[in-house]
Amino acid sequence: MRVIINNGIVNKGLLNSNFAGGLYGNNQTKSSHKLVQSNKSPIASFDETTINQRNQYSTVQPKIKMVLKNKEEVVPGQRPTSPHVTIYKFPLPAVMSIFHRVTGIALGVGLTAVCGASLFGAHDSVYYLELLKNTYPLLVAPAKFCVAFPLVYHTLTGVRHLFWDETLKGLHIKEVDKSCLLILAVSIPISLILAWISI
Amino acid sequence: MLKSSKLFQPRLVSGIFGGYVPNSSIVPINNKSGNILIQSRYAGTTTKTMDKKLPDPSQAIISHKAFHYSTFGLVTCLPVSLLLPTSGLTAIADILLSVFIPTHFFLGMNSVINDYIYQSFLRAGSKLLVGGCAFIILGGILTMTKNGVGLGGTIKALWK
Repeated sequence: MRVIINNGIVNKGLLNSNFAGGLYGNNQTKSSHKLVQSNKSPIASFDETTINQRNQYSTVQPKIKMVLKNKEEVVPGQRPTSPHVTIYKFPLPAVMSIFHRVTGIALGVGLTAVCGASLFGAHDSVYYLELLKNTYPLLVAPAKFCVAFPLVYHTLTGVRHLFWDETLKGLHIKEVDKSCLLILAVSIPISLILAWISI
Repeated sequence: MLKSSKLFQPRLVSGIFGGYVPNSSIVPINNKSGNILIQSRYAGTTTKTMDKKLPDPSQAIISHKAFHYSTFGLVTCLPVSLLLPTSGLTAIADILLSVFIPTHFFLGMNSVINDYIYQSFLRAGSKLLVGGCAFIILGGILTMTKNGVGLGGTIKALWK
């Protein structure tokens, strides 16, 4: 028994697998790469045994066969990674998601430094902050911005994430874009104002 | 087109952080019975797949809930600590923050480490480092509270 497979779906699978880049480097890999590059639709076929080994958990007839493979069996190849990682234009929510993590890491590192100074230093953290203000007065405003912006930005994006988690609203692309712009419009001015004011 | 940095290219970072390999990916393999492509799924361990058992998600669920509620705690206590003048209320908020902040930091950094570091040794070392930082944050905030300044007072000292 020979079955003709919809090769468009096979191509999709290959595009996904291409992201793993460099996992495979044999002849089959080269041929699969050509298949994606040439965008042809060759006729593929499975024998009856292969069809019987299809995924039992799916209600849809599978177009591909899944085989479990151990890490040791996967031979790294010398193929370059798919270029879509480098040429992809990141949308604003993706960039802001990255910055959410970056600001979180920055806050964590800064807080560790302040707490470490408080815990292990000869003086309290306030003493070192006063020392910074007296020694380098020009650095005070940038230092304030470096504290204020990550704090405000990370807080606002975190609150938005809580809102998403709790209400499941605002998750459409246009709404996410709007909330991204709103957060930027709020966090940057507030941070700039906080950088220049004193209590 | 916006180009991402070359630093994130797998060929450069793979030597340091291990291969750019997701835990579960579809890869093509040879089929001896025909000249067609067969997909295989990359599996982390043999035993789990042989037993046909899924990994136990209970630990991940607990971590996720802890992270979620720590975020709630931060949203509640951080404004109290930062915006109000130093008092008994801010001291209570600081003590609560000494629990919420290290939890949030540790679990959040765990997610980052799991996403970007693949080598098991580096991954375990990074988590150990983050755990140490979490303990420093815990001890530091408690020390600040004990000294009467508090976390909010320390941060506000930059603005005074």
